[in-house]
Amino acid sequence: MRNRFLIMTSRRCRPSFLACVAAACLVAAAPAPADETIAIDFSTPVGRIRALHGVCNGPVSWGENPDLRPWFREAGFPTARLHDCHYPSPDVVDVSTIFPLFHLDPDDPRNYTFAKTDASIKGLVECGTKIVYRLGQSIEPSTAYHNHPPADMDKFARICVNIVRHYNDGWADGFHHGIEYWEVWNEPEGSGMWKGTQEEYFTLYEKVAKAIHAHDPKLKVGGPALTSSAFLDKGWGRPFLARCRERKLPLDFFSFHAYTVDHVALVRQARKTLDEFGFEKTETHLNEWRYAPSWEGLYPKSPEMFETVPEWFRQGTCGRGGAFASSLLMRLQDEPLDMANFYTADTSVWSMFGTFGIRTPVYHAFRAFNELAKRPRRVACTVAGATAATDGAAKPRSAADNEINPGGDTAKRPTKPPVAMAGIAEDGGSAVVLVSTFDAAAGPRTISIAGLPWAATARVEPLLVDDDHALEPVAIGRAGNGPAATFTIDLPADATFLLRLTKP
Amino acid sequence: MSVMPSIRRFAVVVAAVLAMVATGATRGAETVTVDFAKPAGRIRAIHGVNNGPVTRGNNADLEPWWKQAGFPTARLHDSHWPSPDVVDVSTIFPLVHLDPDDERNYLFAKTDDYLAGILRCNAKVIYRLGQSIERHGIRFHTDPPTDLDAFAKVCVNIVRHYNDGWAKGFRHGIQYWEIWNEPDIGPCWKGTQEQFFELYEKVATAIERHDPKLKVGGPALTQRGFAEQGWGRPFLDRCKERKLPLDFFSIHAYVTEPGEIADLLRTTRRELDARGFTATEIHLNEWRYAPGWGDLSPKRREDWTTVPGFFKRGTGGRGAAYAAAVLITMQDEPVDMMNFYTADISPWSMFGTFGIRTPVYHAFVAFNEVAKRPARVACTVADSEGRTATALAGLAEDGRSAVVLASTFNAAAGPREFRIAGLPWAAEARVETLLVDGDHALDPTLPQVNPVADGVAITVHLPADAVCLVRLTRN
Repeated sequence: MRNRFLIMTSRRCRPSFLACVAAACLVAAAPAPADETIAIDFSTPVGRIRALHGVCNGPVSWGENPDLRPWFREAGFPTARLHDCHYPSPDVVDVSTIFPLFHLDPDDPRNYTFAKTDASIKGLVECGTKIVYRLGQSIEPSTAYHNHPPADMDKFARICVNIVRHYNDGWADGFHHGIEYWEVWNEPEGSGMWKGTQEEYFTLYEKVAKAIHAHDPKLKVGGPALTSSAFLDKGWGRPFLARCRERKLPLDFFSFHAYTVDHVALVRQARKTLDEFGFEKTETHLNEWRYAPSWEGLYPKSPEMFETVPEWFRQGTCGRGGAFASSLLMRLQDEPLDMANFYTADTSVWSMFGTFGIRTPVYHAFRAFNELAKRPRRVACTVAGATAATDGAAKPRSAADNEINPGGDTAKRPTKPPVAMAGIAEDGGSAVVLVSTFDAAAGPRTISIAGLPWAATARVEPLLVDDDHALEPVAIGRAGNGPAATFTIDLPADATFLLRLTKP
Repeated sequence: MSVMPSIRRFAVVVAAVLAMVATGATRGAETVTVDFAKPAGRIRAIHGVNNGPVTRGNNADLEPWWKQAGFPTARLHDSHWPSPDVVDVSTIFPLVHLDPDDERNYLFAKTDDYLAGILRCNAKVIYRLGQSIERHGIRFHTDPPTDLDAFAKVCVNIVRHYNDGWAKGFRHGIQYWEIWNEPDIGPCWKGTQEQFFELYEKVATAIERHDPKLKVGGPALTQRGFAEQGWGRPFLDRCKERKLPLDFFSIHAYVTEPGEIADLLRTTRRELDARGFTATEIHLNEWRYAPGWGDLSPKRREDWTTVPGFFKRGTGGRGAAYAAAVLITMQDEPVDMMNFYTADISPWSMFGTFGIRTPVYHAFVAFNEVAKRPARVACTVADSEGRTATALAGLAEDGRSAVVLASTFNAAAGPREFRIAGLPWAAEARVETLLVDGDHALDPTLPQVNPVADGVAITVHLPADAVCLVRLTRN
């Protein structure tokens, strides 16, 4: 079989098998020069692939939306951080939705309305997704019903502990879900989230964090889910860490968000700052992120201009958004980050499912990454070639490479090499290569594999995610069929490509 | 397209074209004949809607659009659906074990703001006391209240908050209070028919005792619930037997022909009259163009891509033409109030996600132009080919402007000649012809205008399933 081109497609591709063959013949007859070569050696382990493809919020939806649980299972989201659930009319998770009348006794179970939140959390538990529960309130961009500092912080802390007890200790006809992570509030530096002062927030954090640790020291408490600007520029991050150090407050994880900034640089900054304050063991959680080249178009000044808003959201979840997501999930593998949560995976307008729960390319990019996460024995993978020799995801790209490129004029985008990563299953029965061409040029790529732990012909599934492909089979050229082989694939720009190899 | 020709100027400029029109360009045109000197009653502002303009999140503030469309009434049901946090009794009085007469046990703030937005737009509120629909098997608040007397007390206190100032409340003078919604279907009511009748009796009599001037009604039946499932007649029989207040009887219609609505309304009127409820108003308080109902609830999750299409059909150009045809046709049918479902930011809304206006919204703006000129005049449509358009004409109270509204819902595309006579002024008129369809948002179109013996003829080529507004203003 050596020196013979083969086309192997998944079952889904069989109706267009002849077309695939024709395309492959073209590749075979006159192979275009590949811009880059992605070389994988499956016999050289380089660590573990971490399942960083967590999300925000859950699969249980009301209204004219489907139950998203099958999609959650399919994508294998490892974690779900609960914040802005059922936005913009939150009726679950928020403390005010569970304990609606603040003047009442917090130790009387009758004063709690857990039912809706129970249903939401049950959906996540059924999907095997671990929960990060944000204790606090959803954002209120234009109102101020629940984002004032609680009138009685001790009472608020008691309510938070009772929410913990309900979900972990069975209190008030509750559960034993074992929710480990409890986050105290969200983005307190923003007026839409917190109407109080920095000092008032620090007091709230201290009361709640201490109360939860006093209740169960095994739980992980953290916060404060800062925006990137507040973290880097406005002075909330360092004073918060200084307060935690000074008062010896629990800080099991430090959370922050990234939208229009360099996500990777922010992660490094977080780690560096934590270490500086002596919090070497504190986890870093990037628990809101997505592709957002800019905020332009999201906040029109007048109702006439709201036509721009759907396009803003579409950009974040289209093929380019998917390529960004897969690229970042690979690049973060080597960064000092413990958890990441895409904002969001529910039926809000921010979701990777879009209105009505319809899957977008970003969702399919997460599915593709999940194929990698399910094969966590990471192996050597390098990218070399025309655009700029690099070691793929194994080493960070330059600072410029990490920037989110403004959309718009594609001609002005700098051309970057693709990002790639490869993994092999624990049982050695299958392997995958994931490639993202975010900000990379369209063109042919050579994928050279070696060191597969089986000798016979593998089942090969080349799958693409872009605006026209929902992790769907595409044509690929192949030379070789043993432990080593070479594939040629013509990839569009801003796409996610998955090559899945299965032992026969 | 901002040119608004006066009749005389336009006649000079396009004289040659008009000659063609006179000789044959309008041959075969359907004629809409309007005689502004011939009164034909009053045009009723029945272009009410469901819910309110106050939005959150990444949505536009809808108040400017509400004011422009002049929605006369807003019925509150499924507000902020599918996660209702306003209006519903459970959102205002969340813990049923508490004392209903202790104002600290109520959460009015969000609903206060929601109602304030509606009132700023001068729409009258019809407040549905009860719960929003709970679809897809999730049930939190649609079981019968465990204590009907306590529930009725809570309802009265909501009335007191908004009308009598109770609990730092208001004096909004909300007249209409509706009890529950669609108890004939499972997602809205998990109890029996008898349990609902008991609920209605408790709440209706409690509200009437509190303030006999208020109008109490219900039960907002689906059209099937009324006609086929045996809820309408038993409900009316119970009201008659127990002498219950029934100031208005509410029903819904998700159909695809204006004639179906007319039939439903006539049947309703007959049933009411037969039981002596001759003074009871009829409220059609949920309606919209709703073809292909099956696309709304796909069996397989993978097929959910049909759902956006369902909503788009309801609010696109054909939905707009349907809306205009319904609003015109129901002028002569026994209905006292109508409320389109909805005008908020739910997927059911005429504004669509993010508060972006759809053709249905523009059809409502067009109808509002007629409602603002309520002196109805004689208007007839002579069908020459195909199915007829539907039309309505009115004159302003001060006699300085007039409009003709036409819908080509289910009518053929082609030229329509509006033959205008009897205008109460002799001087020049400013003529505007405005079109709503899938591509036009009440946009000006260039008409052909020519004088005729007793007035003027305005010819407009109309697509099928469109709405045309001809507005004439005295210079």
